[in-house]
Amino acid sequence: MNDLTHEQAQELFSDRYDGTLAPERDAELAAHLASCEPCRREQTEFEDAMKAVKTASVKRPAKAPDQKEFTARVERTLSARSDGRFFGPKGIWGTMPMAIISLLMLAITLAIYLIAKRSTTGSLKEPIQRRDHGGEQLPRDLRNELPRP
Amino acid sequence: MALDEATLIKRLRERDERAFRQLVDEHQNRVFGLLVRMIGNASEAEDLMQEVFIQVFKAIDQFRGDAKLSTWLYRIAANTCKNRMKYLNRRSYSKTDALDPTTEGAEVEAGGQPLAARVPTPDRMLEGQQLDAIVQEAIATLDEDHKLLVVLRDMQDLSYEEICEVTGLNEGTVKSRLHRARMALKEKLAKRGV
Repeated sequence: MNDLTHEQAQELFSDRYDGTLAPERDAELAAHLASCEPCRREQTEFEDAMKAVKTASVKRPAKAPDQKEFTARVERTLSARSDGRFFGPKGIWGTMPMAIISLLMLAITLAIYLIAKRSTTGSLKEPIQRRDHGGEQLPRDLRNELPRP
Repeated sequence: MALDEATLIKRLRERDERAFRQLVDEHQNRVFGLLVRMIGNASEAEDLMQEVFIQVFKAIDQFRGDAKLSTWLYRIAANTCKNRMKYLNRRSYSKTDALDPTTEGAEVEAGGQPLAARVPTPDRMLEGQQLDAIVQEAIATLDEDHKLLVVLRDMQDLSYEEICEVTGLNEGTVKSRLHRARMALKEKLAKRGV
């Protein structure tokens, strides 16, 4: 069982640290470490180093940019690089949601229709009479004025 | 109300500005964490992060949706970062950034005299910050691929599956390279007395 070389034993440090070492390999490593002082020292140094890295990793890196400021900066850059196509200043149509725009258009159309319908002079009140040159609908006096062939 | 991922992606493809705003708000801290730890310079990381999000906005149609959006974002960030580091290395860029070591979670200033000499105080809190700075400094001296794996796995807490998607490597390669990276980091930290 205890026939790992120093190199083989040290190759297992990472797997043991990650918790992915198979139980039988772990037992082999433990047996080797129990009888090998240099590998034990290496193992301790390895664990200490990993602990130090873990401690350093949980801290937020210094000088991290302000979140909102950074987002705004990226947007400004994108706007500049796309000539305002993205993240550029927008008119009312660009900022208003499509649903509101559609409702607004519908309301305007309805309003125009109702106004036209109520109007006494509006064309929706009476049907348009056909004015046909040469037809019977033309007034008599107007028919007389038509050029004769 | 925040959009779920599927809706967010759909809206991003439509170039919806609100969706993009949500994406930036939700992911900027983690992307910044990755970039600043990779590049070791906060203002450089911020500039780079802007490029990452702009690239995401432009290239969202190329996102196939077979990975998480955050993983794809990380992939873009990692690639952008690698390219920038190559460019900066050609220009002999110094990683020093005058990041304030007294603020919480201060980043490291690579190079120069040992940190112990530069942060002179016996105070416990400051000792913790010193330790963070030493860790950052040690990570900064790892080579690029090793650094990326350590940052993704041990600092950003990504799963192996996610790391494979970000790096395009298979799991076996990720594991063996990460192990070498961790051993190299252990050596560097041991030399610094951690």
